Amino acid sequence: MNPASSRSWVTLLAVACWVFSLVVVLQDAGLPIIGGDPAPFPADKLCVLFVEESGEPGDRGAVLYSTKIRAYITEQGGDFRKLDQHAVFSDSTPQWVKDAMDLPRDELPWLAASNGKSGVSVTLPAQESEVLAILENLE
Amino acid sequence: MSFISDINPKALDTELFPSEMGRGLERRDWQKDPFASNAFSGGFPSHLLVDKSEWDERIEEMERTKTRLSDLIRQAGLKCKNQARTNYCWINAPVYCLEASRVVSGMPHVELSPASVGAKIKGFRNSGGWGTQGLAYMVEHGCVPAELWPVNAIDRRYDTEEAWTSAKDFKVLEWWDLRPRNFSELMSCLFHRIPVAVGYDWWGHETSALDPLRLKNGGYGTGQMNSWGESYGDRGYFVLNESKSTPDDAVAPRVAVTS
Repeated sequence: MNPASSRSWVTLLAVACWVFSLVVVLQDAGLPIIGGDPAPFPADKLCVLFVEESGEPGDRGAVLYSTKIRAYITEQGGDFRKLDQHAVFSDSTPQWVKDAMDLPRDELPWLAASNGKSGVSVTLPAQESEVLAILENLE
Repeated sequence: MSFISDINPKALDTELFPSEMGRGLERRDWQKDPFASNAFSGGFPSHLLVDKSEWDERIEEMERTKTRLSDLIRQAGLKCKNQARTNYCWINAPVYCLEASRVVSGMPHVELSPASVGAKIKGFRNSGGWGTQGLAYMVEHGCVPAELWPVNAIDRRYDTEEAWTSAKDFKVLEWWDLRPRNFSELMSCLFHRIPVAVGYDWWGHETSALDPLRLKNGGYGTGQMNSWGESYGDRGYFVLNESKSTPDDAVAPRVAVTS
């Protein structure tokens, strides 16, 4: 291996280590890795699940019921559900809803989103703009 | 928009009682059907009461962010119901609340048949009732989609096994019974975006409460959807002030089967 090729490999390795460290730091900080996580559940389009205890949205009402977020998902040809944490499924419940509901949750309200390639499964952000940023940046 | 208050009683003679439309609320029999006594029904939980000192701020935020139930329902394209000449207001309202709850949760809109539930409860008679009766039935059996049972058909031909198999996807799982004549519980449900089927003894009619409102005269009120078709009020939507809004029988379906 010539010296130039060797330097390239070292540089590549350094960048990879830096990215890995950044991911670990962000995860430790509890922040969503925008567009960086693998899809948390299978999906063939943008699929977004909000989970809450019905009637108890806390201070997240403006996000859970945001018409902007709903319009964005619809414009993308996507699908969403806002469900009670004890939701009961029927035969007509889409598989993505069941898969997303199976994801572990630390607290409520919760957000799980996937487009089949990347996504998030995190505590629902407090701001509408944060949720829109997450959805817009899915790869 | 129709606005009904204590100070414009003339409206009661005209807009409120179009002769061609049915109503049908019977006073709830509190002896036979006591408060919070039905399956999967509890009283509205006191820890979810929204203090009146927060009402103005919350109403302003819901209006500013367009996150009222009426905003979400309009966005989803859900239209008001039309009970025509039937006496089935008492089941149109709970069924509308179920449809509203479903579209607000992102489920696809499926038009449901109030007559499927009302006719079964009343032995296929065009009789009055109250919302709790209807909601209790929908917990056990669900509601038949309109494609299998036309919305106002009080007709045994539609009472088929296929219809009631399909109805199981449209069951209500959990609901709250609101204490009679309690405006604070009604407003709190609406702040939490839970629609409430509200029965008014003074009107002999049941409608669906959607939005908590601050009225121009300084008082509070609610925005509601009637079951008299799109030509009533603003596409079925109208406003009642606090004294007229305060319901006698009121039920709030909060969790439905997911589809």
